Amino acid sequence: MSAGGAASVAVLVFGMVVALALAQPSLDSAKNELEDAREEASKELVSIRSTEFSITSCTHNNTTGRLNVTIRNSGATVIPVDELSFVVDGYLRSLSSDCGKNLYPLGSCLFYVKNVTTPSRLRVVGPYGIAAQCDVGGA
Amino acid sequence: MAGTAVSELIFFIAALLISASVAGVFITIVDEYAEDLEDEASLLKQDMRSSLKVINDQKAVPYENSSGNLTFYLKNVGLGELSTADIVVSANGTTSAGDDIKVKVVGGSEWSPGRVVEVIFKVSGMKEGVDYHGWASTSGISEKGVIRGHTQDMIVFRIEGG
Repeated sequence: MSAGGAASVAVLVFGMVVALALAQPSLDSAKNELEDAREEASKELVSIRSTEFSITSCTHNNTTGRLNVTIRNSGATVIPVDELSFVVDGYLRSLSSDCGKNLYPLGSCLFYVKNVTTPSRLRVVGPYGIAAQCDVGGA
Repeated sequence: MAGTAVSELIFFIAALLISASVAGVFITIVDEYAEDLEDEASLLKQDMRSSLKVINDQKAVPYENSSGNLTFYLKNVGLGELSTADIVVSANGTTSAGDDIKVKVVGGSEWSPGRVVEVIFKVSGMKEGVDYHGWASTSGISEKGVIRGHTQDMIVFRIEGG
């Protein structure tokens, strides 16, 4: 190969190397971003699967008009109390409790819904839309 | 001799041109691929952030016979804020949005994660004991306040008239 030919090949190779070096950082950053997003998604999935709760009792006191609901966290994640929504006979109601901000795994807590008249059904919706229902009994 | 030098010079210039254009094309392709990857990551993140659930008691969705007002409770079960302005609801084939629906965020003004939104809209002629299909959808709002991502949930329900 002549000197010119060799130089041409060298220039071609050099150009490719420079192009690769220029493109590499943006490719790397995009790849990292995608990996982060996938990791976050997988963590979220684990969290959803380990969130679980059950209603251990739901009774209505006719005298006080109070609906008493005991909820047990039967999962492995902490359930923030303000993420629980109570739907009594189809209507969203506000709730109160003395159990602090969180319901810890394997812990139970008593919740109250005040001023309820003869309720029959309760639906409790927690994080990720996980729900539990009960038929209300008399106390 | 002079001819050979000229032809080698031409070869060399051609090699420079080819090298530059190949490198340019290569950089463009890799950049586009990187952009696609970034978009995919952003979409994945936004899809995860935006999630709503219709949390009504399926056996007793509030319905006013006189006005035809149906009430859906929509809970933000994602990781980011959702848009109340982009809510679209539908029941029994009637779809409503914008000024045709009344939206109230329960316990706040922004539809942040864990919060419930009460949506009232008109659907005429619903009857108790009949199974209906409904759905609700909205957009997500990114940390920078930009509308991104979309979420939708469906419900099969019966009404409780009053």
